[in-house]
Amino acid sequence: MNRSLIVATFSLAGLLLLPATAAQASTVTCESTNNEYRSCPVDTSGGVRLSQQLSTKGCWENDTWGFDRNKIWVDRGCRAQFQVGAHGTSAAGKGDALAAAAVIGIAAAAIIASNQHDDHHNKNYNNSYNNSYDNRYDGRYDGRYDDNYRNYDNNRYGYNGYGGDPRRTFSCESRNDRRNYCSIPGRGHVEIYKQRSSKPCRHGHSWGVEGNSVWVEDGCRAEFAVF
Amino acid sequence: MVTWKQLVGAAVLLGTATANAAGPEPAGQPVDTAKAMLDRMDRNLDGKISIEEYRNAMIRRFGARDLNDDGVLEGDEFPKEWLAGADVQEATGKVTWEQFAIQLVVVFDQFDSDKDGQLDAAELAAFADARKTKEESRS
Repeated sequence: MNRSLIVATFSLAGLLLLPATAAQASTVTCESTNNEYRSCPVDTSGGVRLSQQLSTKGCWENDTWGFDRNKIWVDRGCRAQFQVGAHGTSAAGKGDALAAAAVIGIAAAAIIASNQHDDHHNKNYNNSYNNSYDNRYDGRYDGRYDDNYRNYDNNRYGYNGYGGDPRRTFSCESRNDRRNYCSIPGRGHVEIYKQRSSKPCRHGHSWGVEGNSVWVEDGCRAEFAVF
Repeated sequence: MVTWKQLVGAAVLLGTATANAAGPEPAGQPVDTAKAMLDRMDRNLDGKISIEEYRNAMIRRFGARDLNDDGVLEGDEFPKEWLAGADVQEATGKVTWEQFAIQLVVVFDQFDSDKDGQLDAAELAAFADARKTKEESRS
């Protein structure tokens, strides 16, 4: 009798403690503006999880975002909210998120699976690109060029390319770990599209942008995209 | 606060939009669709799609549709005919960046059966199947 009372008491205590622990998680927003490196001081001993991406520019761990013991850093236009502390909590109400998962899931599947149609749009790509590129570029350049430029084909409701297809891709390879430069075709935000080397391509370490060129070294081989 | 109806509306809207924008649905096998997903999204070429690869691709898609860059898809960003047949009468007819972005992990986890943070070939096939089922239920 006494034992079961004790067990019950501890169970109750456990239930009360759980929400308190979860509540220690906090959200930190860290944003790379003007493509510049930013660090956001925070104690990361409880773990870090990217909970909501705020930029169309890529957020890739250990490439354009990361963390060490006392800070989160972002680079190359990555802007995001990070969950610091208890893992597994969500910015959304959990009930809503789970209830909506099935529906949104199918929609998301539809969106990404529609890639098979992209060839059709890509055939039209060069024409629309050439017709609109120069004017739009000159008229809209404001330092947020690549964020705006994605709208280069308004007539098609933006669905050409299905949202974020690169306008150009190009390869750049570091052979024998040596530095190599490759000119960027066109203007825009450059990201790794496919990494072909087993050695890591990490921005600022084994690849980067200098003027109108991408450089790679330390064995980074990749296909890059201009967005 | 995001309501259930808003999310349903947004989801239907996005799903319908994509399907209709591309025209009639080719009779593709799920495995082909999974392959197309890999072709587009598999950044490190390991034959799987990680949550990062999924998130970045999806966010770009949202961004490309958001022509006025206000973080909300609405109005001319969705041709009216995309609404035809979609059960959105009670929805707001728009979807915000936040509504979209916070669901990405939830969606991914739903198809990540073994919870390893990657969608492998079988999980991608299930993903593609779910999409195909959705397409067929609409036609």
